[in-house]
Amino acid sequence: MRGSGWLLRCYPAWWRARYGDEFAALLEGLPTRPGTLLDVLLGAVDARLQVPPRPAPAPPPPAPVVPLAPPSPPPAPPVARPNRGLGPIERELGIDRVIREAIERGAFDDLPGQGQPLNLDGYDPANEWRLAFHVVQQAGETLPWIALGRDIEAARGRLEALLAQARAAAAQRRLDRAARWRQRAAFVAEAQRLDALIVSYNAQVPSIRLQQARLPTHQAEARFDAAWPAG
Amino acid sequence: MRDLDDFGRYSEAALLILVSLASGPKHGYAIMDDVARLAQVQLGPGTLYGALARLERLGLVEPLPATRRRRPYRLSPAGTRVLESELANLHRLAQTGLARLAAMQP
Repeated sequence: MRGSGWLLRCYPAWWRARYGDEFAALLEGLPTRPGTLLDVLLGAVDARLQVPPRPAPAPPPPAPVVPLAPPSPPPAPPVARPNRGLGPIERELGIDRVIREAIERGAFDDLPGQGQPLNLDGYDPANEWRLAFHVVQQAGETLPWIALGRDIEAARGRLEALLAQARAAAAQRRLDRAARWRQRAAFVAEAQRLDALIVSYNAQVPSIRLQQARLPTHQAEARFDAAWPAG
Repeated sequence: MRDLDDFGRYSEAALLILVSLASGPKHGYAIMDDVARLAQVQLGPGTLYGALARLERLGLVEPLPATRRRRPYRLSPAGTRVLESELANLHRLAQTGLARLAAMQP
């Protein structure tokens, strides 16, 4: 199942620390299906509503050997820690805090349908990705393919800048063949990096409509040659 | 004795997992595979781990050391007792239902 990394980030940190590795291995072996995705997202919501288990108590220290040094002064009494309700939740994400505060206020108590099975008859699989994006956005994450899309825009900008340089050189009727060759090689290398980004992007976008046209090497070469014709 | 009544939407999955582990320790994928064959139920990964985490927290299953990122789980003695009790209840229900059906026949 692709994209299991960001799905996993929908789960709370304590859950990921305990089950994340084996759960990711399981997801990687499964095909991507809308039902599976929804099941994992519901599992994440469920995990966020769970109270994190308390860590196992540390084993008692070994029995002291006969003391050679004079006994040390008694240890200071332990400082009382305020009860934080759900246990130590460090680096709490926005959704964690909202849910925890709602639970503490009792917002989920005595709701109609409490304890009844969740009715998903009206669930529309076409909206599956909207739900997924919403959950991930709430968790403060950016989807990998959206970040890739930004990288692609930046790479396109660099290519256009190189083309503008080539046109300017051609306009000055430079006949330095070695300089033209170097700039052409740099342009083609940048175009190949862009094409690799597009391949990766197209493999990750959730809809074929979001895919972008590739830039094969021969097209990149033709664009450069049009901007700065050889001799 | 603790039973699976508090598991909510995970109670069926929890019972299926316990039945699956009754034939020996299994990791997540093997449990899903076994449950699909023995009960024709396709457990989703979120449901599987939601139920597994509850079973582990109640001490009904025990994690074993993971190999290659796959962690097997086994029935604990408490899990075995809960499974026996749940299956005995189901068995009584099935017997009663079948007896009533038989009495309905003309």
